[in-house]
Amino acid sequence: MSTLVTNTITGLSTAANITIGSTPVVSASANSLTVRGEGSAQTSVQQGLNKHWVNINGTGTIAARDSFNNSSITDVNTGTYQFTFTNNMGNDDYCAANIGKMNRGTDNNGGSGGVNTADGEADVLTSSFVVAYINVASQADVDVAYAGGHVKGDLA
Amino acid sequence: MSVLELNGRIFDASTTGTLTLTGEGGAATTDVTQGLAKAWVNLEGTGSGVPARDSFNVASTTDTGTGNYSQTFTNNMSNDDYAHNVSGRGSTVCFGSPNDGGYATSTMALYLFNVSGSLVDATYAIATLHGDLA
Repeated sequence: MSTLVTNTITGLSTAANITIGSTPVVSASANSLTVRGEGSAQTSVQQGLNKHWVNINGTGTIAARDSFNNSSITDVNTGTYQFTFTNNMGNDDYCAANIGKMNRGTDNNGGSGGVNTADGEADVLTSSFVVAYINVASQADVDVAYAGGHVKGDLA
Repeated sequence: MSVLELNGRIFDASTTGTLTLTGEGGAATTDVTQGLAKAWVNLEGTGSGVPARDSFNVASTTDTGTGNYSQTFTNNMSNDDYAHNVSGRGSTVCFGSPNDGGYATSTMALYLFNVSGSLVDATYAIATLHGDLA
């Protein structure tokens, strides 16, 4: 086995491409690195990455169990949580999805909902977003043991 | 130095277990390893066997009851603190959720509900998981 030690690799025929055989497997342009997908198409590595995820305990003193690119969480009010990014998004058009574990058969709390505007909170910002949870049966806001979110979009 | 630089864009693998990449805006870097989904599945939620239509890092799928499905990972997670979201397709499916026993290092489990909060089989049950591999 040999090791190539170098600071920079430059494509031979195209400076921004690395080709194995006749297949371009990595290419780069400004702020976009693409790789060959499972088929024949190229896909953007940056666009395919989650830019944030978090799993929190939303009851009592709320706390993150694990997270990525999440600097803080705020207990806005019952069943409503705000997640603040460490590195902000480039715009507020990102795709945010929330997660929540349903306590079915006990209290029916935890139905995953959307981002929340009912409390007058700014819901989707470049620096944070808000999620909300309800009791499915009563539609009442409710704190949940498992809450969190995922974000895909453009970093600043 | 453990850097791959292409046209000024950088993969940095200097720290074990992390790979960072410049983000879309150019101002921040992002951790590729943390941003990758560690498992995803799209399975047939009706009939027998609930086979995966397509998946990643899923070794098997099990029908554990109405609207209730579990998946075994090919490569386990290092802890059960991961974040996975659940959705589904079906005439009565309204929303999905992790099963209330659905966090383990070797498996994840899904619930699909109708608008009343009752479990229903989904034509397709879908989940994506982010977290730390073992």
